[in-house]
Amino acid sequence: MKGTLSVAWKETLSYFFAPMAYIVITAFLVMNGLIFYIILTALSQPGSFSASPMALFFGGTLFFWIFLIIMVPAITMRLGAEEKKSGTLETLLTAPVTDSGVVAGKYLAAMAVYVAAWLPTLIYVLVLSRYSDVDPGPVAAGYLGVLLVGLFFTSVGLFTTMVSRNQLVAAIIAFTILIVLLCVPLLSFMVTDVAVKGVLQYLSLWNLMQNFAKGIVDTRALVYLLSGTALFLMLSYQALQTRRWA
Amino acid sequence: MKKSKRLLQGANWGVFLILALALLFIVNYLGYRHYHRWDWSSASTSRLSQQTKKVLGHLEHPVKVVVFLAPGGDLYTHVNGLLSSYKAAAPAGKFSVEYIDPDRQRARMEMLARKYNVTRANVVVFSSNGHSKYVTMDQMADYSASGAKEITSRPFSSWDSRNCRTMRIWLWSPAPNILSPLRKPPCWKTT
Repeated sequence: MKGTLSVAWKETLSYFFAPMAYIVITAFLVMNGLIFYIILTALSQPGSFSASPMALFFGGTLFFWIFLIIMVPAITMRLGAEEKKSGTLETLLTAPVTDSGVVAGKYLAAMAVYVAAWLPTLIYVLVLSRYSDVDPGPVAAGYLGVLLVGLFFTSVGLFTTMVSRNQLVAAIIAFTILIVLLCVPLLSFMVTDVAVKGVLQYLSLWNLMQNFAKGIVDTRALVYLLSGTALFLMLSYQALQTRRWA
Repeated sequence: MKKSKRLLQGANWGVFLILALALLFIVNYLGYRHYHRWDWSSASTSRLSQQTKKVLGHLEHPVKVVVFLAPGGDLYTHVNGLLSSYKAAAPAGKFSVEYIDPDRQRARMEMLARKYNVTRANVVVFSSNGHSKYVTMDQMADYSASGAKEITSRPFSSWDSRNCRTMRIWLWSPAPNILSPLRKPPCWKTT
């Protein structure tokens, strides 16, 4: 546990002592701010459909997903690949930390950056509540969804950085896996078989995030995201073990 | 030596992957079969009243719902949300929903339309124990006069969603006398 925390602390510090975290967070906030502005402008047009701005902000637009699948690999890509490249992996593996401690520590550090990127968006809720009624339930559920999707995506990113030697390669593989996770369920519009359609809809991150944004917390979504996270964390652990013996 | 080590590593990965995927499948299958939904919103169109939940929780006969709506339509997400809540409130296997996209599944649509005696487009059919009834789009929601796109978001409910949530029950209840099409159901205040 102590080892996990010291790895997490060291990694978090190295994120924030380098420009990378600031660049990622700033770019993310600029893009999100722009989207939030566009959503508000579109909704205040006469004759536009009625919807809650925060519900659209959380997964209601394609941009939500575009930002996530770019941001998460950018955060995670250096975690394992850099250790290998700079030759510090041996030091880490011989340090008094278990392999699971290393995986958990790096994962926590990446999640810290992810949460730090999302925290300033709470200002949008404050701004909205100043000018209109904001239903707190769906906003809380939306942030819960953001956190769970973040846990899942970050675990995917951690796995790819553990298996590759190059940061860019790690980011591109993570990006590809996330695109597949996001796009395969879209086939549910094309298939007519009820069982296949059911499976694809269960896997649909779009549906799941839209439900969170509406305030619906479904245990199926929790099970899917958390079990996916567990799978990729186990794979990361396995990858690290393989490196130890390689 | 090196080759056998690589082989061992590969086998290790293979076994690990198979076990992990099997575990993932089992967990998700169980999670899919047994689930619960919470609605954290204060005024949602898909939240059910206690009475609706009670009826759904004690269904005698399985209820099958067929939705003949195109996915991009105005009411699709509302209908989908509400029916998902129904399904979650009913015992497992007692409430099933099939979505038919009229543009893509022509043959299936015609077959089911004949089966349930549906003569209009964009309807939701409720059937149970040999009885069936369908609800048309204008019975599901109320469109405001000011703009065609503005839905007052009360699918399946009565005219005031805040006061009349209980009325959603009238749509599908298997008892034939409740199934009579109510154009303007009376308000039952829950509070």
